[in-house]
Amino acid sequence: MNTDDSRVIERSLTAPEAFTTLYDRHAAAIHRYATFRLGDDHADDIVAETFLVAFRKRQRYDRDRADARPWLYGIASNLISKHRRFEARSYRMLARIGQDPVAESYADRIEARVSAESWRRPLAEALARLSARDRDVLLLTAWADLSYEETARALAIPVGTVRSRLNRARKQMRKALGDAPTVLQEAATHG
Amino acid sequence: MDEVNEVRGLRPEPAEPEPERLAAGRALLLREARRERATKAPARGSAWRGRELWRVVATAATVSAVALGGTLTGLPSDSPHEESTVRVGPNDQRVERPVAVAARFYNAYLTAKSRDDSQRAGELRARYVAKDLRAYARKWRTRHDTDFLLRTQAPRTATYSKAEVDEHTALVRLDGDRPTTLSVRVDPKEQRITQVAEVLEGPERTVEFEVVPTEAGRALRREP
Repeated sequence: MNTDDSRVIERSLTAPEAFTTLYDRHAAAIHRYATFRLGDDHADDIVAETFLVAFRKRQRYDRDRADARPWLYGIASNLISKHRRFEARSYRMLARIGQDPVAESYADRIEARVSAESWRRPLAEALARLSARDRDVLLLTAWADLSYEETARALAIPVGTVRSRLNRARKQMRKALGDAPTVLQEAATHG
Repeated sequence: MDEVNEVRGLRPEPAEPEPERLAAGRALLLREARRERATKAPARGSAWRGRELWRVVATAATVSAVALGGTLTGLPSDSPHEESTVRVGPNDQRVERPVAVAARFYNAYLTAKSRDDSQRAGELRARYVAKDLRAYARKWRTRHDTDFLLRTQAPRTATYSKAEVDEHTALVRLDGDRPTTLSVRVDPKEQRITQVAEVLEGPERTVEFEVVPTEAGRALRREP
């Protein structure tokens, strides 16, 4: 399905309206990713801005890349990073008082409460402590399902940097879980 | 990958967004695409990176503050009618429309904002900002508690550059507590701002601005 994103972008250089095909293909996924990270209130704007920015920069898109998803996720991540304080605060709230304003904005109360179960709290605390750059790598991999190579393209960094950032993030996650032995056991039953 | 999988389960998975949720963004994109077609000005690849000769500036406050090496605390000109006062480039040519319109609006708008003159700010928006963008800006404000047209709290000065995406878009840098750069698109016929987007920070997106003094006194006159 995504094999011809680059052709769409190429066509849009002479027929700008063609770019909406890209929107129709990927807007929902970007929306879900933005919702995951910032909640329901921000997602519409993040999506709209992501595609406007992409449209204006499309001339520079590397048309050897058939799949435009990493490029779009990269733009979305940049926009999301402008809300990094809000994002970190939401993880801290989840970790400390079991309330997740982000999840509550799009899931019903029961779901949101489940998401705030105690075994997740150390993870949330660790996410809050991650640097924004490490968090981007981790969440693009975990929530956007991008491969290392795609994450590297999204963030315009070498694959080796993706690996090292992800390793660092995973260590912190592991440490967070390790600090709470009961949590580890419980997490294992979910895994 | 265990830790990564655990992170995946941190929050409930969002449902597919309803089509109406995506419709506004699609409409904005389509409008932008149609505008580009109408103006026959496709995006230029190197626009953000190029060091163009066209530089402009804006305000006496900016110029004097930079010249003195001081902090940027001044206010821009308050006259929205002073198109003739904004000049650019090595040959001192008159600024083309988008920059002039953006400069007139932002100079006056920042002044109104700094004085908490909401009535004046509203008049300026009505005059310089397209109706649908005003509606979008209202929605934005309720969600973000920030002025969509500024994207940052309490900017003090504005600087303008013509190193932009196309001939209908000006770059506006707002300096204050959190400096930001905006891409401001202007409808040449209506002389109204039709889109304002924040230019992302990053090495390849960095835009060079230079401060070039304009005709002191004329360009920078303030209303009493």
